[in-house]
Amino acid sequence: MSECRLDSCAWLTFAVLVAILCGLCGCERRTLYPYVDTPYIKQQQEHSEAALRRDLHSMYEDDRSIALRVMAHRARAAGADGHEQEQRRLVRLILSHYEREQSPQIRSRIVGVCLPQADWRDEEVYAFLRKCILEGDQRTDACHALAALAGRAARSWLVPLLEHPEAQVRYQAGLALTQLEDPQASQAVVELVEGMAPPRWPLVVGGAPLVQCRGSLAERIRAVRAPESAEDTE
Amino acid sequence: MRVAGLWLTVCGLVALCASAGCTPRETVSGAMQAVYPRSVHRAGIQMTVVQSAREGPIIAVFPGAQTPVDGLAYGLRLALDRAMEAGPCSAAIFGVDEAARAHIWIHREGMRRKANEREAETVLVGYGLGGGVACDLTRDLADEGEGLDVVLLVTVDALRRLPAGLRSPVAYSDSPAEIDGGVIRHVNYYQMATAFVHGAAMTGATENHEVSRAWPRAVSHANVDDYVAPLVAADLRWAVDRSAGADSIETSQ
Repeated sequence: MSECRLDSCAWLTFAVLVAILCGLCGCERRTLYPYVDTPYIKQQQEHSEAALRRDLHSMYEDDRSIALRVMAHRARAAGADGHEQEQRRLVRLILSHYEREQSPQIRSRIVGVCLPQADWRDEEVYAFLRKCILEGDQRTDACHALAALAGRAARSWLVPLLEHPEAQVRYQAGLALTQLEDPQASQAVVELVEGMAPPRWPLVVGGAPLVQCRGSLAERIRAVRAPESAEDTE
Repeated sequence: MRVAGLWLTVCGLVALCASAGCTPRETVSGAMQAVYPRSVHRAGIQMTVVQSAREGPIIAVFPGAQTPVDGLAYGLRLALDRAMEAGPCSAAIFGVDEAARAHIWIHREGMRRKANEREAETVLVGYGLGGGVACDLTRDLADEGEGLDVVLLVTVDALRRLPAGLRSPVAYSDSPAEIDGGVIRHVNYYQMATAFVHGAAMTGATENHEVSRAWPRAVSHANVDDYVAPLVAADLRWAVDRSAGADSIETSQ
């Protein structure tokens, strides 16, 4: 007989405890990788605003994320239908949730995903995004969101970031500037690309080799500048 | 020892089942169906034609295995909506198993443009397994040589299935842009934050952008399309503007 005898009661208790523990862990995350919210958004779109507001207070991050994205989608749809007051109200609701949201992931999602999705372009949103850039709170999200929403007006806020001490911020600001379709912004990115070399730039920027970052940004700005130069010729 | 090992295996299985079985749960706003959406989609055709036009680029979007093709609130759909505001184009969204249907649709739209004496420029956008499908379709269109070459290919965290029916996805690593005349511009966005399920820099791609470090802890394979949506929208606008420019030159001639 083996030394480790099977005491069925002890083993069964152990198995049940492990199962309960794993079950509780499994409840926290719905799938193998976190925040798979996209398939659920369609289902939640049917829910009332009161239900969505309740979801904003849920203990689960993905409930809050889904509720925020559904609100952003409704805001966009309201804007497309000409209901600007409704769009503005929903965007304000999203912004007010940002103030009390503790999770950095959800805060990032509000700035980087929900605001561009809601597509409400007014000075209040721009001021909020500029504040995020100044304070370094979700700065990358704010750069891309400001570029997507404010267009050429974002240039004056993004160009100074090309001198930021962090290489990753400089690179992302350059990437955001390529969205603007603005000759002056493009020129600033061209100058950024020309100066992308050590020692000012590290050999790895945001997990990617500097050579790759420089090549990609150079190709991007070259593609973006072609229609601009055609416009200038006209 | 053998019995103890058996018991440990049973315990492991019970634990796995418990953690997996825990997924459907009650939320504050009511019962949430944790149905794996793929099974729902496969009941019918996974294709949504968003817009059809006689000019402008032909844009086919493959949003990935888990995204509903008729959904309205995911990253690539938002990027597509923004591109459609920039000018006329034909746009459709396909499931990852609908490559053949996408091929037929692109041909049909191309024929409409040729009948209208317009350029037939194709744009393919793919996310996750859809990125792999878009790369394969680019190669197919280039091989055919019927003037439907892809001017812009955008891949977001592109994956491909392993052969022999294995479902495990692996990073797609070779850009079809290497084929002569296959694609003019290939923009590849990828993240490395999610273990096992992530894209990679593609050799031959015009642009490779690693985005997970830009949004630390927030980006995963599941949501990277939402984060890069403004950039993808800018890429698609480039294609629409380019097509409009080509058409205006043709008209003036």
